[in-house]
Amino acid sequence: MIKNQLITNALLFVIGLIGCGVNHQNIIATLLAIEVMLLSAGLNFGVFSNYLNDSYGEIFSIFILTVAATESAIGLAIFIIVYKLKGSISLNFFTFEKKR
Amino acid sequence: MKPEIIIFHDLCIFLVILSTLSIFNTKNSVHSVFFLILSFFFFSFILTIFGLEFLALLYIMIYVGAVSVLFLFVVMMANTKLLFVHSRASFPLFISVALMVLFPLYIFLNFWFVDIFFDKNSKYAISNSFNYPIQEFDVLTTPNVIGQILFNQFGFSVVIAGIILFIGLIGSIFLTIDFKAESVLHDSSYAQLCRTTVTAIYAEQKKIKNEQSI
Repeated sequence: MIKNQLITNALLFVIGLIGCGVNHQNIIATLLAIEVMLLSAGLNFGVFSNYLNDSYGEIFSIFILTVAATESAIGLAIFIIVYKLKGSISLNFFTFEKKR
Repeated sequence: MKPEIIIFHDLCIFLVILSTLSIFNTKNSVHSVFFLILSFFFFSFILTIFGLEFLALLYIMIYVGAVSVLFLFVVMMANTKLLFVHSRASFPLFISVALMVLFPLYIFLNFWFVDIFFDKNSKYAISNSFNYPIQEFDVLTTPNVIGQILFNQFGFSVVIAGIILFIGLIGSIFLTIDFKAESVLHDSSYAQLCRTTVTAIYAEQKKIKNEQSI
């Protein structure tokens, strides 16, 4: 059971990593990929805290949750700025070329 | 462990992976945020199976109740539905890279990592020496334990987490504010600092009401 869960956590982390790296069309999908990566890391801490009967894993999971909330807030603020400036949410516009 | 719980756990794993893959496979951003909420729910099911019910409720409250609703609000406000028609162009590349990375990773974890660390006879086995039967009768509940550890040993970390949240608050306000618009920021700071209870708005309203009543 813990074996399957650890494999799943690694798989979800890799899915988030690839979704963060490959995707160049959508800022929202990149933010969601980062959320998935943080979530799988927190779940890994939780599973090991269950396995070792140690509550420190849950504590670090709570800290990861704090960082994820802050990251999503600032990422959405940057998304709103880029959408106001460029009228598009593509990541390719981060080069800030003059659009005619 | 009961076999029903193991089957339910496998089902939750399958649904988590399916909904996480569906995040990157939709054209509409709103649908991908909905799939993220779905995967958060199945994550919390898995946490409940592993006996971390407080953490599961915390994940539902914070992620589904705050973060995902924030995402949903911003995506619906921006209304970007028609703007990325060709967003599925990179999906076959995504699938092929994912399979190339994930399949050896699965083999690696299944035949090497797990057998070394979770076999009790192995040299590198993780010790499980805290598993006393007396913990079944322990009166400390999970929030109690978490609060004691958090505020006794990780007090400074809690302060740093609060500072990080404060930076997120101030940063998002500062990033999204429009300095050119006629906003509250163009109020004179001298006039704001000179304001007392006599010159405040509610005092004026009270004076007007008194005059009307007289």
